[in-house]
Amino acid sequence: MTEPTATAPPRDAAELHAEFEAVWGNPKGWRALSVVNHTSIANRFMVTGAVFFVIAGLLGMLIRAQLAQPGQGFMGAEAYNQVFTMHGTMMMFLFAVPIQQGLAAYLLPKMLGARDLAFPRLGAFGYWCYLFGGLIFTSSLLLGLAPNAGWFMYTPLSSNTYSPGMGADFWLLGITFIEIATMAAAIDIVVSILRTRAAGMGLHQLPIFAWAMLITSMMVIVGFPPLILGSMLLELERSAGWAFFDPTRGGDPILWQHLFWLFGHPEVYIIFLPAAGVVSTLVAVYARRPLVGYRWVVVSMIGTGFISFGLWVHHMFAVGIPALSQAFFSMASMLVAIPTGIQLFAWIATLWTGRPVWSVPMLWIAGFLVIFVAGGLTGVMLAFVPFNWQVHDTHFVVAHFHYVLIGGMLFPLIAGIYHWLPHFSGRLPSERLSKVGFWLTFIGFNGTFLVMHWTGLLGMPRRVYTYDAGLGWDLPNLVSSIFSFVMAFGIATLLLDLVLHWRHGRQAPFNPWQADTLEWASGTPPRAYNFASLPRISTRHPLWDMPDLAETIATGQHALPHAAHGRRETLGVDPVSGRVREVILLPGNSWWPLLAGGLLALLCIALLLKLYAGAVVVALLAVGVLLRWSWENGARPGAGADSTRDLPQGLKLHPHTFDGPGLWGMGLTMLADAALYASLLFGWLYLWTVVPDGQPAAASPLGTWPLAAVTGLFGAGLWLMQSAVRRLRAGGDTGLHMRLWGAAAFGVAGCGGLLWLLLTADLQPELRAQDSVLSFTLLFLLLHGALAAVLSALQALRVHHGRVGFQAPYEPGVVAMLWQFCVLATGLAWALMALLPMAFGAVP
Amino acid sequence: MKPHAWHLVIGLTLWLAWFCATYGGLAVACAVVPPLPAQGAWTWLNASVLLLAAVVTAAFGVAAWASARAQAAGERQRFMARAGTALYATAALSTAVVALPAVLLAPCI
Repeated sequence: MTEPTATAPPRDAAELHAEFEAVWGNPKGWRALSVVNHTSIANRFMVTGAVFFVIAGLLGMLIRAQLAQPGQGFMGAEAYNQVFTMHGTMMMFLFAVPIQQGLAAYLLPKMLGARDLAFPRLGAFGYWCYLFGGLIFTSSLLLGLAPNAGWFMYTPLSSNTYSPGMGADFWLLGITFIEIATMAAAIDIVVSILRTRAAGMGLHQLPIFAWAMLITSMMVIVGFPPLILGSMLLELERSAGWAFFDPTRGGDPILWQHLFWLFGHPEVYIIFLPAAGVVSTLVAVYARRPLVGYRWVVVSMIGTGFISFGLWVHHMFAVGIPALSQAFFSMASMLVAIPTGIQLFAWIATLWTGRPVWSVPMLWIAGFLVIFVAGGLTGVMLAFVPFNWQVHDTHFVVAHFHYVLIGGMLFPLIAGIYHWLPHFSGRLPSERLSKVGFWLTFIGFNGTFLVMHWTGLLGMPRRVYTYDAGLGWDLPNLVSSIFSFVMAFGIATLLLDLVLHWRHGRQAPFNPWQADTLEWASGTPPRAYNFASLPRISTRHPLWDMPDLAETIATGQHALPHAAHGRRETLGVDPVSGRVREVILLPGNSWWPLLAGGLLALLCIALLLKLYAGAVVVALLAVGVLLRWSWENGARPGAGADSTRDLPQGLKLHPHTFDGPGLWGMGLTMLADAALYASLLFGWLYLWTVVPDGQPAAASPLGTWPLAAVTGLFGAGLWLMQSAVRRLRAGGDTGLHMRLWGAAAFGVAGCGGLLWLLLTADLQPELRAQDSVLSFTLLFLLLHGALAAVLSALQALRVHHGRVGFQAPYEPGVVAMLWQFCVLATGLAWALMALLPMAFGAVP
Repeated sequence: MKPHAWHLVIGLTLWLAWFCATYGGLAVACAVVPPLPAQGAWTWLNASVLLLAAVVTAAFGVAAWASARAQAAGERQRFMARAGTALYATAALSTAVVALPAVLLAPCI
């Protein structure tokens, strides 16, 4: 095959820019809402995240104002509870994760040598879900209906009995809605890193920030589903009266804690690892040398990612778990400090052996090193069970996690913002204002939270809205509150600097920091298409090793230097070697993401208001919109001749292959689905083991064979889907639509069986937790079976319309993955919920 | 062992499976057939935990050794082989360290 990235003759850069701008340019005015380009969407993510940060920060200031003195009447208990719940929730879900995903969405295609992320419309959809979900959630504050049970919403405090009203519902529905955005962004990022890179960029040459985001996003995909499941179960308990966490009906409130912290502890590293990626990137740039121990840093990040899933119970040391089990988590909690320590040593060694340039981003990095090390050390202290018991739920813990999260995330993020500011705007910040902002923030932060360790050691519990004088807490609280205002002034100075620089900042020269990564070759500020041609990259430091790269890219001397064909396209590569496999066709601007996001927002509001009939209608409309959107994806009928114009020899557009990004997207979606389902099965086994008299009856209310029959029906559907894929792979498409219709029919039959079980089995979810789990499982399987059936029918229709067939064989393989999941999930439900009780269940 | 990107995730994925199985298995055993508290750490349950951990640690050790000896052609394979070695070794160390308290602590109290 001809090398698809062979050098092309140079073209006039301005002419080339005009050609690409005609295809990739963003519309103005109200049509800008239909933009899907990653740079625009990422900018929106970051600006929206910053707004939520300011709101959550102001809530934090209210907390400090209230605690400044004993007996303060500034806020009552109810207002205080709402304020600290919203502060924590907004910082974690509306700021820390989305803003870093926004930064990643902005940078990654540029660092990787691609023109966009793999799923631009999914990115836009995620943004609208984030914005609408955030607005709905934040509106609860203005309505006086904000949740008040703390950011981890422990049951039974968050149950209907102790949290009546809509507050907890705002949390459960709003946060689940926002998590759609987080999951969508994570899937988009993983597929983009693995499949849409510059030709030749092997996995071992990935920019270190890309490694950090790859690991983080995989953690999101596996770590968020337990919380999504927990939120759904708790909302069902609150709104439909089902029993999952209520011990009087066979549930267990500790199950919520497990589900929450299965998400919650990896979340800490989900927040930290992207920041660590920023630090690794910046340290190398400002030390003027490659990162010391690149491979060790990658190994450390992978190790951190995995080990962080073995720590969740260290948040639950006070609930009465046996000592040996606690010790497992205690040891794992200490272990995780080792890979983090390796990264710290790599950064110090890079600075030590380099020629560091002291700059504003480096100030923030230095601040990060000091604060994060302190936070890490108190983290190791908290891993000791007896010490943990001693300071459990005190201000010591509050101080610890602010050191970890602000030190480990906010400081590197601000360092990154200052580093890439010339890239965002083409301008430089004010040296004086930025230094004042740093010192005020650094001094204010330490004055606030270092002292808070002392307050906690003196025994002050967290989440109390006031305290009596004379307990020894007066002075440290006053000091913390005063310094918190110093920090607020620091953040305000920083924001002022960022705002002013857009108008008054000096024009930045090309690559002002002499960075090594490819994003600086995409123009400052960047063009919508990033690169007019896509270079071959076989080094970790493209701009250090190929200084003329920006010019040769802009003059079209690399791959895909044409846009007159009207397609948005980028290279699709092998995930490991970076060998070019195909050309990935990217979708253009669309209103579907906004419409789908808007409908889901309406669904969220309808559920909040308990307008269930309306919710069903809106949900159906949303499904219809999503299916209509999916209809536009992939190959277009009659595009055969045009689809090869200007393609490098030997390469096809991905809809004409078997291996497009959608296959990877579906695989990762199924991984997330599997994590959610595994959490559900964990819940089933947990209640069985832990709840007194929780042993299910040997004779399952689902019967012995119905689930086996449904598994068989789904298996038949899968077999037909796979035979359709095999036929396409063999180069034929005769009888394709019959197989697809057949699969859909088996799906409908399987769903009929599940519906019959739901209606006829003796299940009483309002009375028994086990029945709630069984009912939820049946609904889960029904939803997936129905989706598989509808998608197969849609595939059959697409065959009729010439959108799927021998020339465009890619989509049935994507749908077949959903069928595999359905068969596996139903089979597992049969084994664990019908067969296992037969062997070990209670016999009356 | 041929260097491959899968080796970057296999070891610690299995470690996680071992971790969950040990924690869950201990909970089930304590619910169904708890050893006498008076026995302290000298119980069949602790012995099982330690035995499984020893087997798993040894398996990860062998995988790390095989990965270290892998013939790597080129920079990419060398990266995969060395990173794979470090990650299998991490899995081995993590297994041994996490299981260590079973030497000292009674399992179900």
